[in-house]
Amino acid sequence: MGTRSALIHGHDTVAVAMPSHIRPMLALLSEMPADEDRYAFEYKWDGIRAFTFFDGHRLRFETRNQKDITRAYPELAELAPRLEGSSVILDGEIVAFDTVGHPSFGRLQHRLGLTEDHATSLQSEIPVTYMLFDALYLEGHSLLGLPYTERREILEALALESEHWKTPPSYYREGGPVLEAARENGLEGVVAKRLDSPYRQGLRTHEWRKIKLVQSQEFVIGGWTPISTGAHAIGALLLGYYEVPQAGRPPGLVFAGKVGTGFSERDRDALAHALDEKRRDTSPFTDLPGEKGVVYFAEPDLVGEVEYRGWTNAGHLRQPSFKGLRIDKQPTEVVKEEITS
Amino acid sequence: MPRAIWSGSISFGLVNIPVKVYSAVKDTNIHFHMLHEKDGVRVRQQIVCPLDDEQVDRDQVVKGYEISPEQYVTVTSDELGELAPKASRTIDILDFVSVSEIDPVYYQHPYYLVPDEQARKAYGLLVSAMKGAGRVGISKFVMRDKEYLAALRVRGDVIILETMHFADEIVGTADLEGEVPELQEPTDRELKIAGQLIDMLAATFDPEQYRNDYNDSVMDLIRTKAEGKEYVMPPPVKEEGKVIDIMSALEKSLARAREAKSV
Repeated sequence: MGTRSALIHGHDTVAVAMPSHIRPMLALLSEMPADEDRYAFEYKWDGIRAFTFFDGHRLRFETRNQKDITRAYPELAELAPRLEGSSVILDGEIVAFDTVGHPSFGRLQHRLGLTEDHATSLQSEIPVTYMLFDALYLEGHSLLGLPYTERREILEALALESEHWKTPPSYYREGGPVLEAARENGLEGVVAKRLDSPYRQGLRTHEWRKIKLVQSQEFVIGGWTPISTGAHAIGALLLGYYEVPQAGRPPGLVFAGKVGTGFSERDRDALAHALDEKRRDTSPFTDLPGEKGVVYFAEPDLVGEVEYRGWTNAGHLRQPSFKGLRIDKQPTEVVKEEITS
Repeated sequence: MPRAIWSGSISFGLVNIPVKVYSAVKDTNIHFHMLHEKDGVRVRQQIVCPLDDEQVDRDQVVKGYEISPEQYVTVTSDELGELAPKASRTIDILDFVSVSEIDPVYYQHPYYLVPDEQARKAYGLLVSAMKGAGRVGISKFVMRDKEYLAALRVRGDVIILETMHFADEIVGTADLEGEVPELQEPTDRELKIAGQLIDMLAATFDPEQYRNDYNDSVMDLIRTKAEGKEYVMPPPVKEEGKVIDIMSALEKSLARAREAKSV
């Protein structure tokens, strides 16, 4: 029995061997739920989803698609001594902040996919904070079957607060004020979580609803147009999403528009080089309208996050702005996200 | 493990030999980062427009060719794209000339050409033929939207592609008018002494004996400082304050929002 086993007393947990991976529970894009008093509200952090696995000795962080990112965040290594003696699995989001103090996925991007050498030098330039929001396993017991309220109780009892990790509060039954606070501070939105819901691995369910203040989603990058200065750099990216699969044929990549802003100078060069490696002669889109000028096509392997203000009648993004590449999502998972009530 | 920088194929007549291109030289220069002396933090560069004093984003910058002072013709990448030579990845050998005919002033950068698996035999044949004939292949190719002139010559069992300057890039000595002095006829005695000086220093060419002394002394300086612990580690740029700010800022906003709701 570990040092924190007292925390699971009184909860209806199941004793199991510690799983080596967790499939994330996912939120449905939604409006504010009408039955607010059945939900708790948490701030939505625009970073990278990360699970902590600690077996009492080794600490490991994994993304939602089970990529090991431990070495990229050496400042989080101190969680090990902090959790000493216990076996635990936590769910949360690793976030970076901009110079004004707002969460910035763009800044986090520079830390993504790094080896340890680069990680230590960027640690001071772009510090990160791990926002914890769920406890899934503790001292030999799975917490997955417990309702949200009980998992929260256990998570808060772990009292994980430091320079590099925090347990942001969860507010029961008050969606309106929390959304306003999120809006005022430039956050992406809020997540409403059903008080009685267990943790449903790998499912996107109405029990977790994401209410976004600005529309944004991931898109597959299927090509690009070069910058007008003639340098070898991105001018705009050609974006797409996969259509709903029709019977008998593989889903096609639908063209969603071009995004030409939101890039730093470094991004434009780096993207040009990354996409060069993926160059192909034919368009990966099913329906690309004719382009004047030079267009390069790429294998649809890269996924980028884009903020936008709605869709035009032609089915293209309105005022899109590039936020960063996403290494934690597979291109085949990218579909058009639409609000379900 | 060096990485191929490009791939193409040597082509002449009906012969086509696919190859990978590797740089034959590497950079041994010592590179420094730029740090702010006060705190050792790496500095950043910004592009600024002096008229409105604003930081400018890369996508707001265009190319301008100065046709007369302060008068520019702007050119877009689309327009340049239409003119760019079509990429075909072939190194077209146009002529075989004798190596001694090429003045070294034309040479730029050497690359090794390594044949693909299936082209080994043809490559070997070309190497032997070029050695036997004592000739060098003058060729043209297009790499990454730029056109190059190059000489293909044999070194041991490898073909080296040496990029060359185009004729109009070479500055003629006539352009050094006034700089190059008229040669005066030396006396026989002067000539004999000069000849003896040259003989004294006569040697066979052994590049290994020449070291970059300057680089060596800079590395020694750096090592000495590192061992004597005379180095700078910038303090972590404490942005922690910002995170606490966001959490307490959220608390304050929430308090206000609750207040507004209860009104």
